[in-house]
Amino acid sequence: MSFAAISDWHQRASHGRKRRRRLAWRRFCRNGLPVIGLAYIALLFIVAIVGPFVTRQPTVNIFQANLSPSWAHPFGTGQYGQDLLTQIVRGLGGTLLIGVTGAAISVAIGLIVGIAAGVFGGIIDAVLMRFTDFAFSIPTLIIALFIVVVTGFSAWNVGLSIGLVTWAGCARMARGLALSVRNGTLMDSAILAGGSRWYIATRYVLPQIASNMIVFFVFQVASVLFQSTTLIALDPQYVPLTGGQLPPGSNLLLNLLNGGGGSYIGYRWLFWFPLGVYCSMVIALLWIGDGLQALLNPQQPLPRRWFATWPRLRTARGARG
Amino acid sequence: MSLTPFLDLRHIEKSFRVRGKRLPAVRDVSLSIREGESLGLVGESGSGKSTLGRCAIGLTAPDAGSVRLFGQELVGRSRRDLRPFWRHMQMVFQDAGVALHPRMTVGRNVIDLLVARRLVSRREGLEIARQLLEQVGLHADQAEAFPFELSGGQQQRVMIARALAVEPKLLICDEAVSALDVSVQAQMMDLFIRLKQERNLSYLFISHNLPTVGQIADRIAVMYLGEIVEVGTTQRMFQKPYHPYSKALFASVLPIPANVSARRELRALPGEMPSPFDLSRGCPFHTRCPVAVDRCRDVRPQLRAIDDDHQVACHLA
Amino acid sequence: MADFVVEARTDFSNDVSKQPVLEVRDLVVQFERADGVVHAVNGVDFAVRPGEWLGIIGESGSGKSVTLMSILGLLGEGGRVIRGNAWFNGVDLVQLSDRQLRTVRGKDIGVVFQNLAEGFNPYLPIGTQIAEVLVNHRLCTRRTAHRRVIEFMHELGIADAKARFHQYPHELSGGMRQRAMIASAIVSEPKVIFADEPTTALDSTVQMQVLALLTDICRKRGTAVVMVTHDLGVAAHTCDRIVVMYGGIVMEEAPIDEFLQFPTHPYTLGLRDASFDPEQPDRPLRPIPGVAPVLLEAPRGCPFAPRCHMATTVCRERLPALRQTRPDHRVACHHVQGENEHEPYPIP
Repeated sequence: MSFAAISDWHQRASHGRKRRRRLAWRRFCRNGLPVIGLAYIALLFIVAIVGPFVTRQPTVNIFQANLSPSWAHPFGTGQYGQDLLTQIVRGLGGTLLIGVTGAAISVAIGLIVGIAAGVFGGIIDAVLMRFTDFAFSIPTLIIALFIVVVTGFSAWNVGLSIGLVTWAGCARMARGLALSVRNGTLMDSAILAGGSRWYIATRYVLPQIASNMIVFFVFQVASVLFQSTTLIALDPQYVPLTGGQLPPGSNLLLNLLNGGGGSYIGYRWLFWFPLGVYCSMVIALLWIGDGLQALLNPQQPLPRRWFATWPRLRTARGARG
Repeated sequence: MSLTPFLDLRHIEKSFRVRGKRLPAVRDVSLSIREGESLGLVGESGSGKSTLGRCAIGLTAPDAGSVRLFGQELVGRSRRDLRPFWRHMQMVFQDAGVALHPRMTVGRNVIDLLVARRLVSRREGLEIARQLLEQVGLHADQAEAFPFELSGGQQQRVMIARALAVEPKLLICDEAVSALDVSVQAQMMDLFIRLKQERNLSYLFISHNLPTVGQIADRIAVMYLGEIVEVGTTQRMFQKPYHPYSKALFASVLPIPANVSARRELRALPGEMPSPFDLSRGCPFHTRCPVAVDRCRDVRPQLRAIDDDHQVACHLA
Repeated sequence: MADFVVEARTDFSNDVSKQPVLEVRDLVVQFERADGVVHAVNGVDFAVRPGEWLGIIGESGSGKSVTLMSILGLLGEGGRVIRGNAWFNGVDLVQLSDRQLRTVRGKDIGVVFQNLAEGFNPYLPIGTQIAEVLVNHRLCTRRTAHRRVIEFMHELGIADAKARFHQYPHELSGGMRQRAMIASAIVSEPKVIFADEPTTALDSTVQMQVLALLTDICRKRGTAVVMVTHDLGVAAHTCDRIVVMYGGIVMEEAPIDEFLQFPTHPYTLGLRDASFDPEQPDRPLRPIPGVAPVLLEAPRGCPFAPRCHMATTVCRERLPALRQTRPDHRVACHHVQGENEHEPYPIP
């Protein structure tokens, strides 16, 4: 009987790690959007890292306030005469930091709670889930605001505060995944394998959840960025200007958005440019998330390559006529 | 084949709670498997055969009764204490596609039982995995593949190789080939029979598919509504079953007649299996039984020996 | 449909009085897939006479279900009939538009699927769905349909037909659902019923019930049945004529008695050797090695050659033609002598 199995196997062409990686990449590339997203985010990271070295912190100069876009100021200037493009470039690092910290914290907490609930079950699960329900019910922004007010305004603190209030959703998801593993046939075969609880948790439950969590992380970065923009009351315009310096954090995208949208209806560029950067960033992240989902799911059939199929369609039609 | 009881199930009871009601799945079942023997457990969906299989291996704790392997009691032991027993019996599930770890290579899956017990390192294991894969009719190089890259039949072979890694004496196969294509089923049965001969394996072969069970089993037990209604040798069960339910069940396997005049009349058992929620005191089969008498409604028949190696639970046998 | 003239087809039958109700000629079906074109059916001929049970047997992947689905226009994505005809009532079903086919499907040709879940809409009571068949095909009004369906369910031995009428599919057991499926296939009194593995998904005793019901009702009404199955026992007990398919071509075709007494093709013999015989449970089975291939090219030689123990060079190079070996018995194999050939086929 083995001969059939072998020939079948060899028909499937070569195998191995290299090929598998190539296939994974092909799944990621599917329709091209994830690649565009990845390239865009990579570009933003490069700008965020290099930017602060090639630009200077914009200073207050009221004679140049609210200038519309020009060659000297491609994105125009703000209410204190600061160059908007410079602000965006210098604030990008902090903005990305908010997203990544916030998502990392919420995913980490969620993962721990979810796995504990899924692996141990019983009372531990019940207690953790009630606590999660409680955390879920708290009006998140108020708490986030409170944390930021207490700890002071910085990219770290904003990210931290949003992470600390948004983990509950992640925990619920992780638990759902852990439970589906726990109640499936896979768990039966893991138990019969005779490994310890720790072995089952790390080898069976965690890997199943982790891939979903990586995808969730990317979406969560987008979500944290979104939430951060609603921390309106932190707008630095409420902080008095001292010594001709812009207040801390005023370069952050969330503050540029609030400043531009809330106070300066007439000066549209102050709103549209930061909004454009923000939206494109979130969309790019969503595209990456979609790509990762395909990449991490090896069962997903490979995409049809349209450019490879059309000649065959032609021959099929030709054969008919 | 020796006559020492090897796995012995006594008076197993198991019921589940479904929407606040008690759903009896297994009702007072006793069974034993001798060393080197394969026992087929047949019955239709809802007869409790899978639950019995899970009770036998310890994945489900029975409400009452005892399970003994080599004379040692399994019921009441914690999962940790059951681990040593799982070196002697393993299970093959219906759908290998979900029973294998999707993110481990085939080779790693095969030695999972050894790695989980820290019997081998991963590197030593790979050579073992390659040998095991060849024994179940796969190519050794397939150790590097992932389960989803294989066909259903190949996945099932991997599942078997995985179970064989700890050199068990008994395999519990729960609908092990039912999900496969018919021609692949036949090839899998070939493998099961070969392993039985080569390794003196015992099987508890659970299936609703009588032809597959008939190929491998030395004895067959028939379950209906959580009870065993008849146990006997395969030959006897196919040729001359006693219980009216077994008669209908085995008659549903149609042979290929020699010519048209040798065709059997298609005669079907009337009615449907009653809901297990409202079982009467009497014989579970009396509602559909063509020969039922008054006693069948009131008194539950016990399984009793009517011959060497043949037991029936019927008042009229 | 009545305007069409029934074209007389030649050389299919020795019984001229009975025109076939369905006649399939040289049917070729292909599927467009990501990895190429799958040649699922490669020139199939068969005919069904009124009231006849035709059994199409073969392993999964031999193209037997695809043949039926392509006649009904239910091929799904990527599937296409490349050439061939399916004459039914003097109309070529292959040429009909989807809309025209819908008037045939369900009304003149009833369908019983293997997969019970696909057959019914989960949100509608079962009786309504059966009545829908009558109403949609304008066979009676909605009001009379209700009564007729209940009468009909009663006739099919569905106990408590009035209550069952209002039940939803998930409330019925598998056997009951299959019975309801048969009811909906047969309520419009079609000339032919296509039954695709009608009992495979059912428990053994329920299989028997469904089979007994199907034979009973179709024999009584004289409905022809095309049954696709892999179970030789089932086919042998119900069918009048057997077509064995492999690799999308017909390997052997014979009336049932002939088929049972003189099975000829190595594939047919292989299927028999691999079938369990309840009268001799100890007889070891010999499964055919390998699996039915997915043909990404049109078969050059005999599609069964890679798995055949008799295969020689000619098998791998030339597609065998379906030749008459005995009266009304046709076989496609290079190693089987034709009826009027006294010399064995030359084997190089």
